[in-house]
Amino acid sequence: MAVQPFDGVAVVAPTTVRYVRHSDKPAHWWVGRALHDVIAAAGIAKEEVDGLALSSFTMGPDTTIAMTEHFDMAPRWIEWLPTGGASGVMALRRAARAVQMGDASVVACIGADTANPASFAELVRNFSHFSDSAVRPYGAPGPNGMFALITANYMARFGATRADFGAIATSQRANAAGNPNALLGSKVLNLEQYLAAPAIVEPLHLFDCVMPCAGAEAFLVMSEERARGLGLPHAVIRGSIERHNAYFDEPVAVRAGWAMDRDSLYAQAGVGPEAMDCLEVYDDYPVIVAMQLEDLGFCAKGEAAQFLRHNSLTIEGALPVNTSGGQLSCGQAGAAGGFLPVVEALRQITGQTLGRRVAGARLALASGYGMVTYDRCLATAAAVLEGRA
Amino acid sequence: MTITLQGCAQCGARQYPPRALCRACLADALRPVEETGEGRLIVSAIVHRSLEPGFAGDLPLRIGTVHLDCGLRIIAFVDAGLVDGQSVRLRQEAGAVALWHAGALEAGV
Ligand SMILES: [Zn+2]
Repeated sequence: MAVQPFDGVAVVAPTTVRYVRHSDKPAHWWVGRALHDVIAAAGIAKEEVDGLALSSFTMGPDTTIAMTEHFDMAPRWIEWLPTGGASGVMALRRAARAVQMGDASVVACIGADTANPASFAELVRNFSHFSDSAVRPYGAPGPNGMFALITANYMARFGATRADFGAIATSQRANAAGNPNALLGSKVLNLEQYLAAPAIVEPLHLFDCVMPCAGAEAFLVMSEERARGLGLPHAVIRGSIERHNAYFDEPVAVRAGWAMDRDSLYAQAGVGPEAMDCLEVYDDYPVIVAMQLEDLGFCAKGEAAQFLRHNSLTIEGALPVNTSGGQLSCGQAGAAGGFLPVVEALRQITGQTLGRRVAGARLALASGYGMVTYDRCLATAAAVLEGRA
Repeated sequence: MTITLQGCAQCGARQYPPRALCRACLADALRPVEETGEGRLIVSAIVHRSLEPGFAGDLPLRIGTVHLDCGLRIIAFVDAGLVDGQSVRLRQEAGAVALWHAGALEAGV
């Protein structure tokens, strides 16, 4: 059976709770604040939200169900997405189906996390059984260690250089200028600075790594009819895919699940990658941006470095990528980082940007990548969104 | 010198990291199996920063992905002098957590 279209579903109210480097507040504050802001943006009451989809790493034992009690809600549909970088697109997909089937009318989708100096190391330490038993004893390199291996392998196999990854980091930093939510947005980053940065896990250096922070991202999913009735600028979902643990026998990851499903994505959308006005991808490390350029069909496998040498990823360029600055410039607010691509895509195509807008943007691709339980991330997802005034 | 891995008595699959059941056929038939430990060092990286202060005195550390001839991949410490892509032999250092080390194939143990 073919993937059924996402007809009749609207995505509205892109919401960002301003990131901070450290927060004394619990994750619950960030979830609640995002809920407060997202319903305010849509002009609806809390009681109208009858579906709640959450993702967070720092809520301790609590999940979505505990939040309903925390905030006096009685939704008829909830979802919990402990899938980090893929959770935003996954929440979107699940919420859209719930609205289509009538299981919910208005779904609030929220990714939120707090951060303090101890929380990141704690999170990494308890991330998965495999990483605890088979990675942590090797110097506790965390995700930096595994993505250093993926990056080094990619460089050796395809001839990419540090400068190629630098092009990603520096163009995203340029995109962050003017985005008040980008914690590093006011700090200029040029290629010399990128190349001169201290090593973290070679070949990764400081500006290849995201800065952990606290923050939240959110959006609402409802019927198109309701969005129009509320007079809200909105996006429709032209197509969407999801895949987990793709290519699990490959000794070092050179591709991920998008490569398995992109034909379906573009067939659903009825357009190809060339039609995208902007691309919002998960950027835990520059090599993963390069991988998405390839696996989502913007260039052939192994050719991202060549692509980067001839195409700027800046807002003014031919293919604007991570127009908010991405996590590499905004900071990585835990699971909110997995919502950032969806929220920024929605901002761009509905004209609600925090920083600069891609002129006339109408079609955007948002992509997610999450959960490094051993030596690669397992979850991939993507969606093509179209803005409607 | 061989290494010990988790294997399935029903379908013959090998697995790492260890699992609760066979990853391939899901049988509850796991037992230790001996393998040569020979494989290829696909890629390595140098850890300069650890997330845990306890490792500070050991840095920098070299880690790598070894692709064993039996098809498994294992994250291991990498001996000095090895080059990415070369054939290696894994050995297991006894301890509370048995750590993997990749060494030159000729050296044996
Ligand atoms: Zn088996």
